[in-house]
Amino acid sequence: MALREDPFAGLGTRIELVSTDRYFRDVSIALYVQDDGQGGSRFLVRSFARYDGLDARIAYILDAMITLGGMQRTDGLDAADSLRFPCGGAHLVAVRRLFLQACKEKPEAAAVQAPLSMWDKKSETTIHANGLGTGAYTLSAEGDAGRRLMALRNAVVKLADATMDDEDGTRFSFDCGHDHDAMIGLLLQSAPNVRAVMREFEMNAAKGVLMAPGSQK
Amino acid sequence: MSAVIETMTSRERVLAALHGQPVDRTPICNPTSVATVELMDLVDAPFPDANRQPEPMARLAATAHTILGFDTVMPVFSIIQESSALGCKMQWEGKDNWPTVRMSEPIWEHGDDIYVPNDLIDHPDTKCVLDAIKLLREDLGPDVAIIGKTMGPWSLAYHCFGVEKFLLLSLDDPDATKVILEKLKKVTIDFGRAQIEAGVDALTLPDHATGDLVSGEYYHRYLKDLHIEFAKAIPCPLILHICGRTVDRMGFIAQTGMAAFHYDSKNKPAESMAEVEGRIALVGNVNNPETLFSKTPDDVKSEVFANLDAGVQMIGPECAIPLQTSIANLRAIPEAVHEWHARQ
Repeated sequence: MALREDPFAGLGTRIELVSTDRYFRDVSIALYVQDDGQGGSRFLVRSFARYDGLDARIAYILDAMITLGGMQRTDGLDAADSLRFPCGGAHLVAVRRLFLQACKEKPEAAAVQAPLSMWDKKSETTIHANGLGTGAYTLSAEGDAGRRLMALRNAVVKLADATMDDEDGTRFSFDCGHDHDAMIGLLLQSAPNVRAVMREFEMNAAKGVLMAPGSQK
Repeated sequence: MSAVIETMTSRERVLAALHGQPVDRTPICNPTSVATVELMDLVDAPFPDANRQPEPMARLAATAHTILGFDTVMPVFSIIQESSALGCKMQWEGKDNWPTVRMSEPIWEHGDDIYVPNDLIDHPDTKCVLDAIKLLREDLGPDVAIIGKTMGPWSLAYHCFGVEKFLLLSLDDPDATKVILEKLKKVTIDFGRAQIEAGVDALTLPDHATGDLVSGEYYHRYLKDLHIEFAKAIPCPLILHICGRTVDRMGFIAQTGMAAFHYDSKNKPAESMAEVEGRIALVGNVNNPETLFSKTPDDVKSEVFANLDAGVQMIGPECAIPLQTSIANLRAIPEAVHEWHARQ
């Protein structure tokens, strides 16, 4: 049972885990973050299962993260299975959401980048995210969205761990000062359901915790 | 900081601590499960197979020593093996969740209904534990401590009668409650002895008179004497496990003759050590749902250091860890023990 090499060495910090991958034999797949040695962060996607076909599954998830989140492959060692944001930043909240979404994409087809707009059922109008440059964005509506714009802006800020503009209820920005259009497109689609998204994080966290019999149903 | 010179094997170290003898360094023990979904993948031993088949059960258990660096291995990840053998309705779940007994569909209503089959340990869900223990001993040899698990009658009564019903009975009819516990103790003793024959060095005995549901006085009234009986009837060191805030009963627990008490993070190490006054060893206390699951290795180490500073005899998680716990946080436990000793 002893292993020659330590498979967990040098991975960095695990920041998200899909404990059973619905598309590949229920394996667990994790997202790790580590320093890139240049003041930035890079991300590894790892599973410790040893099934044939697993490498292709991981490759699909990496490709999906590139498409959905605008990430890019790193240079050098582990370049094949490590990613970074073009800005080099960590964006830990957003990248967790991106990883989970990449694992949910149906592997029969390549992932498709989300547009910077979405139909909002509640306000019955189309909402756009407009890039202002240097990592700043503003939301606008084709019709009258009223206070809904601010609610959606706040949701995107929560999902992206971005900074909201106190002066303007539709604006927000990334502290890295770089644009992240693909990521904003993805998170904008989730913004109307931000509570459900956060609940998903919480349910993930609660699963797999053994309760004493007196606390079970 | 210099490395500790180890003069004992893992097994010698654990057994010495359980017997109150000197150790070369504090043992790192898991009286309950340290299985995770990543370890399941690594050794191809996912739940529910690892709860029902001896080979995956043994493979997964071994990772506590081979991957995490603990001094012990513990193959009985769940708390339902005996209850399954008794006929409880089971929900085995998948890889990323714990098997449970459907306590909303209890199998018994009265003490008279209790039937403990003579071949309880031949049931597939108990026999797989015994076979896994034998495999572990063969594979790991004599130097690693193997801990088994046999459930106490209070926990079994929850499973077989339902939690609410059994607790209400304990309020309304103490005599009937004692009859139930008396009848169910055979399960605890038989399964415990069978695991000793199979090769365990010690047994965890969970008996969930937990701090949130049951008072210290209740423990004294219903369980203390039974636990004294177990300590005499089961010939190996016993590690009692009760979740929750239990300082109010630690004084009683310390009088049972059990070797150790596996205690929860709701109890502070120093107050717990003061309460037991050296009459029983303590193990556990590293918080699961917050620290091990969602904090950092440094946070884990802080809790380990607090236990070591208080003189707690064995270090480990407070209970079965969440299945999604990271390997880095689990490894922080042995790392912290080594660091602490190197500083001494």
